Amino acid sequence: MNRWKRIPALLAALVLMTGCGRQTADLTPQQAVETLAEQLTFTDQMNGLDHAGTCRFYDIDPSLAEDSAAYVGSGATAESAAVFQAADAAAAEQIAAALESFTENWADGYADYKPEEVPKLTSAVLEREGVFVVFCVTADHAGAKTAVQALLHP
Amino acid sequence: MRNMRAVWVGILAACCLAGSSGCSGETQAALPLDPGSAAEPAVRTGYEDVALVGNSYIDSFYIYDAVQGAAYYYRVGLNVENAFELPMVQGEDMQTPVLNLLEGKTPSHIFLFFGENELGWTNRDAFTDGYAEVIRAARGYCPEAAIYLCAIPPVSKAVSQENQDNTSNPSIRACNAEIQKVAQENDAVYVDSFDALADADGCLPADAAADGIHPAKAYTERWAELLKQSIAEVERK
Repeated sequence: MNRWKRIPALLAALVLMTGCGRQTADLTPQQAVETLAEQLTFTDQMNGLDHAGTCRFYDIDPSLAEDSAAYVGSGATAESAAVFQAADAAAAEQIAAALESFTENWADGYADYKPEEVPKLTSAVLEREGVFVVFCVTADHAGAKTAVQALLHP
Repeated sequence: MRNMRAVWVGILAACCLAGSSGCSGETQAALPLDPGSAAEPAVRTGYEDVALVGNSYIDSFYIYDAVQGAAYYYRVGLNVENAFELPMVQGEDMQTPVLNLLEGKTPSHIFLFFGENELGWTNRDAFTDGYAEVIRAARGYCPEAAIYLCAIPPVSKAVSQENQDNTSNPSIRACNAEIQKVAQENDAVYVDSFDALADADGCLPADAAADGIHPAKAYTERWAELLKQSIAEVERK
């Protein structure tokens, strides 16, 4: 191939490469949590938490996240939804690990007291995409999975 | 005449400047340098000297930090016996039994939340004796703290009628009478959370809690105000 013809081909390939694969989610934690709250079914009386409240609730080191928001129950159930915008990808990985630990501990706590909440915890949706971490505990596992995927991959 | 008038005005002004007490005719106490040392307690900006210890009712207080800055030591399902055995499921320390988390802390006020998980206990002495043990342990760790026993709040009409595990408003009232007696016998303050949250029928309003038992945000904040009032009353004494 003539080298002058190669350049447009290379440019086209570059454009395709940057456009291919998953799109980076363009969302704020607050907007994302509101979307989840609208789309999913929760049985508890839910209320929103700001960044500080969200980190406190999930025992997340605030320095790991630039921003976060959550929608949590009253304690009557284990239901909640949260979105974290981590400081970087490594921090996102740490947040995800902390949320796994949170889930295990809560399942342990609810096992004797309210065992009907345990399946919600063991089927919790936890997804990470770039710096975003989305976590959802609800009886509507399939709906949560779909909603979270749509958030992270619009 | 004008000069004499000026002299008297000057003398009066000098008297007033020398001390306001002289001009007013009354003896005034010196203004305190520290407003907190005045007779009335200073207005609180936080409750960092308060600890809430007990069962799942505290979860909602924790979620919303309803008693701003307080320490929350709790676990769902906690009762007066396993409080010495089970740790929290979140927070910095998930190894130490909940009640032992008071060790080394210096709260001025400790609110205890027990009774709801013990409603189904047929041996009521086990509950009242156990609660007395909890108070003794708390006082052992924090001898200077005022101890408060929170009454169990009402449940909704539907939950009361279902009466699962003896969870009904009549049973709760009976247990609260026990809690009140334990408070009296152990120099603790009884906090009447029941009447504070009940509607005209003596039930928790249907919209106050998703499960009819655990108050959500609005009623937790109402409960928190009761705790703050209790603190203010103790501090005024």
